[in-house]
Amino acid sequence: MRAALGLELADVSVRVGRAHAVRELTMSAPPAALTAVVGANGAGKSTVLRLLAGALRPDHGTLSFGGTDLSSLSRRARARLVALLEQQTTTDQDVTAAEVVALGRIPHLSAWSGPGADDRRIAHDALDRVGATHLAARSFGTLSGGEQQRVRLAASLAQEPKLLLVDEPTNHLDIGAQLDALALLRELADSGLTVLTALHDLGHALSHADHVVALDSGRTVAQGRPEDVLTPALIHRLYGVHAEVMTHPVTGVAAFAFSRLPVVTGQPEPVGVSGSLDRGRARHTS
Amino acid sequence: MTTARLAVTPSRRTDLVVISVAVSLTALLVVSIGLAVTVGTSGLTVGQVWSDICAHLGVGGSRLDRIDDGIVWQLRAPRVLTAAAVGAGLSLCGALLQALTRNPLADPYLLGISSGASLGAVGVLVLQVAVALPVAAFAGGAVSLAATLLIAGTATRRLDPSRIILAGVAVSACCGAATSVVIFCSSNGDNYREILDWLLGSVAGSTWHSVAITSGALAALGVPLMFTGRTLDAFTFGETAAASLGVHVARTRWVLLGASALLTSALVAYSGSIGFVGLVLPHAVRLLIGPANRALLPLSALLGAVFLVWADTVARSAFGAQELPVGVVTALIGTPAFAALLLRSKTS
Repeated sequence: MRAALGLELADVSVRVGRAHAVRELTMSAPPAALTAVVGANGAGKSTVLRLLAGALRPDHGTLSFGGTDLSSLSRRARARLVALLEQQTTTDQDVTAAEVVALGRIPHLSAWSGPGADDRRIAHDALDRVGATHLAARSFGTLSGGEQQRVRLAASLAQEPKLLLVDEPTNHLDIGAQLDALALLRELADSGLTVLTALHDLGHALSHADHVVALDSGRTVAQGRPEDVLTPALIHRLYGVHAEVMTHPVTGVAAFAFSRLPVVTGQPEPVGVSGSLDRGRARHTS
Repeated sequence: MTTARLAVTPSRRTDLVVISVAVSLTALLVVSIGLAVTVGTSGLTVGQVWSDICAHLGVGGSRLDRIDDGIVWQLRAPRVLTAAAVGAGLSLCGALLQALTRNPLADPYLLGISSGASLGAVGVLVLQVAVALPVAAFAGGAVSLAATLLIAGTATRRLDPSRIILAGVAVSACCGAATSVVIFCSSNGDNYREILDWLLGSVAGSTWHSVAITSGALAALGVPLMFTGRTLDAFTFGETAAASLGVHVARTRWVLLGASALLTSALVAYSGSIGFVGLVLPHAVRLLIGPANRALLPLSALLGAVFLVWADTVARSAFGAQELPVGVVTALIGTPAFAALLLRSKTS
């Protein structure tokens, strides 16, 4: 068994167009754990994932995983180490779920050889791991959002990565599919995969992540255990909203209540409770 | 292991389908070429034609008299082979551009190459500049491609698929207008037939020189392009997904765009702008074998060759001695197919 590997970003800057999408960013993600990256829209969450996946090159700084500088790897070698599951990407092609999963084998194949028995087995196992074997022959376009995401996750797993990047796994999914997606990521992290996911829902970050990295304007403002990072003060700084941590009276599970205005005792005016945070809203300061 | 292989039946089944389609299309192409050379208005029989061809190839048979031998060996044979090479190349480029730009309506004409090549050719014909036609066509195609890419990429500093298409439409319209102006300004009526052939496409007048250039371009550029299927598959979910699968997105896009533009220009220089071959045939192949590009590219080339051989046979024999430009035939078949594609893409 190979030891699980951790992720380190040091002093990373990148411009997208004229603006810095990420500036002097330093963060880490522990190995074999689920790390959530949180922050307002435009804080740089997706940029971090795209940098790690090799879709963007940093102007400055180093990205290392398990002590290996990712920039020193060939594109194919990197694709065998790191997989990216984008949010809500789709295709015009009339592909079956099995064909989508087979795409994950591309970094392992040469231009001349077709997929072999091993590739078919790995693709099959990946589909099995996300509980989507029954979808194999279905046309990808006819699947529900949750099913499509599971099939794409299987494609990422067929890449056999050591680091899995997931952009907004719960976006546009119904609550059942959201919880299934998070449980699946949890399971993958527990089985030794290093998982880094951008999350909008702070309740999900609190309940499912081992480690949280909070970004603001392309910089890390806090990182650590979820309950240490996701404080009302930090949430106000990131999103310009007021948060209260509430603990379930029986299970002891913590959840957030959010409001635009400070909550005055006796006159609570919550905008939403954990999981229904108003996502599209821009920050006060922007 | 056996169970695991059986469990992923779609790909197993596809392999079988791909192989049988490949074998059938290859046989069909050989038969098509063999039959097409015997079709014509001169009243020669199949036996006479093949006896003559065999004599030329040095495998028995006997030559026809000088005029009939000229018809078979100097007119029909190079024409049929040029049609096959042009059809194969255009269809291949169409399949490639559709995958690369993630646009099911893309084809070699999308980039404005063909209208640019036609403009170059018509300009030389009318102005009687001492430049060889193919060279002028090639220069026109290259310039219009550069214009398309500049318009598409200058503002965003990258090549966005939808911007390429919009820019291609603009460049095509501009070249078409310029071509019309050139024709309008020429008072010499003798050139009209030739100009028409360039605008609508024709492989009439193909020589063994045309065969050498078009099939040479197909071998030098088309065959390597056929091996890019797996890289193109990585673009199924877009550029970021391709990058995360280990593909150098920018370099791949430039190299493949450049190579398919070169190939298209080389073909258009001998055939004029034949439309709809690159657009429609890859879709027909997808219906048979699915969207995986590794098999799609070579099979599209095969079907394109078969298609253009027959389209040209119809063009030169349907109206007796009167010839139709082959682009008219491909458009008559291609436009309903194009409309069907549009209607279908709306529903999906």
